[in-house]
This record gives sequence, C-alpha cells and structure tokens, in this order.
Amino acid sequence: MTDDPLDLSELDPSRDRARWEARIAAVTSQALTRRQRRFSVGDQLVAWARPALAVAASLAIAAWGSAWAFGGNAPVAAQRTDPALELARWASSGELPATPQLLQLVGDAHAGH
Amino acid sequence: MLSDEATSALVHRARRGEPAAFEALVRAYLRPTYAVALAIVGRPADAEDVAQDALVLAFERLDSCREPGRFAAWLLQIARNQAKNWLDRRKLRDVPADDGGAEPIDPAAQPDAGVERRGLLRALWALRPAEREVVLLHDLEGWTHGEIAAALGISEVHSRQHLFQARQRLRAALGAAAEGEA
Repeated sequence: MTDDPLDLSELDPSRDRARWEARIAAVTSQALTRRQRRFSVGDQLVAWARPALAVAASLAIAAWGSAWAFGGNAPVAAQRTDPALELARWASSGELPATPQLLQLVGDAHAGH
Repeated sequence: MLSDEATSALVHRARRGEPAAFEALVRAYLRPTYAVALAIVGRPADAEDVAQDALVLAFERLDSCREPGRFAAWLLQIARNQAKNWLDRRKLRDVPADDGGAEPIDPAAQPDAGVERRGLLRALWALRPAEREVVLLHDLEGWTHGEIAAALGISEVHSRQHLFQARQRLRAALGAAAEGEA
C-alpha cells in the first residue's frame, strides 16, 4: 500500500482566492480593532496605574522618612486642637478657659486657615 | 510554516500594534487553524468561522503568549478549545430536546458540498481526532512531522503513526466509496 500524500485539495479553503483574501482581511481587521479597543481602555489603565503607585509609594516613604528624621514627632496639624471642638468642650463642661488657653486657641484657629 | 524566530519577531511587532505584523501572522496561521478546527467540527464553513474566532481571540490575548516562538502551538490550543465549545453549542442547537442528545453529527450533510468533497469529509470523520489533525496539517498544510509534533504537543513518532493510519483508513474508505458508486 502506498504512503504518498493524499489529495485533500477539495478541503482547501484558499481555492477560492478572492474569498480567502477577503477572509484574511476580515480577520486582520477584526483582530486589530479588538486589540486597539482593549489597549485603549484596560492596558492604558494598567500602564498608568504602575507609575502612579510608584509615585504614591515614594511620597509616603519620603513623608515617613522626614517624620522619622525630625525625632518621630507627629505632624504639626495632628498636635493642634480643633478650635470648634475645644470651644464645644468648654461650653458643655462649664469650664472657664484661662486667657493663655484662649489666645492659644485663637492662634491655632488662625494658623489652621 | 514560518520559523520560530520569524514568528517570534512578528508576535513582538503585533504586540506593539503593527497592522502588517497582524496580517503576516493571519496569512501564516489561518489555514493551519482552519485545519485543526475542521478536524474537530467537521464542516469546512464552520471551521472557517471557528478559525477566524480563534485568531481574533488569540490576538486579543497576545500578551499572555509566554513563548512567542511557540505561537503556533498556543494558537492551535485556542482553536481546539474554540472548536470544542462550538461543537457543544451546535449539539445543543441541532439536537431536539426529546432526542436524548444522541444524534451523530454528519459533517458531510452540507448542501453546498460536492460529491468528492462529501465523500472525503465522510471518510475523514471516520478517523480519530488526532489522526484528522495530523493528516490535515501534513497533507493539506504541508507541515513536517517536527512542526506538527511541536504544535500539537505529541512526539514525531506519534505524528508519523497517526499519518500512516489516517492515510490507510482514508484510502480504504474512499476506495470502498468509489467501488460502491461503480
């Protein structure tokens, strides 16, 4: 029995040259469109997310480093008392603030704005 | 078939969105993708649609192709999965609900197929799936056993065995059909 190749040309999809070329063009066009659409949304988000995260991480490290370098003190803003809360506390407790406390509070409120 | 290096270069260019690279890959791999799809779905027109879907999907996921030089193997696996999904959907669509799902699919039952083509499809469908893939890639696409083995994930020896079996069985089936007509 011979083992020559079989003639399967009846199943050759490119026998109709024009139709096959149209199929190639359709696949290429569809593939390009899908890929461009995907790249324009998903991949660009990913492309931007990485540098943005890197910048955020650098800023966080820099902030932590400077806080540590200045003796581990909490940021100035965190030390300040909220003037509104302090006034409310005095009003509710009936406690009379001393003059330096009032001046301090007014100064903080001014500095806060 | 393109060399691994040429394919790899085209995949890298396609990843950058170069239309010419897309077209070159489609030109090189649409036919083998069709051959693998035909081995599973059995109807040429359906196989062309499956091959188109598989290539479009592959390009969409091109970044996940870890070895661009082995693009063919990666693509043909996508084609196989697409073809199997397509076959499942066709079985659901073609078989009536009260039929028990046992109706065989006759790939030769196409109104547009010529007599020779129908006989060939019927004979092809009687082969095992692996034999169909190998004989189509070898005798229709002209791939070597090395290329077939790499793309299908089998050994060259198996590729040769599948081809030998497929040719024997196809010749026997086509010979019997010719005698029947005479």
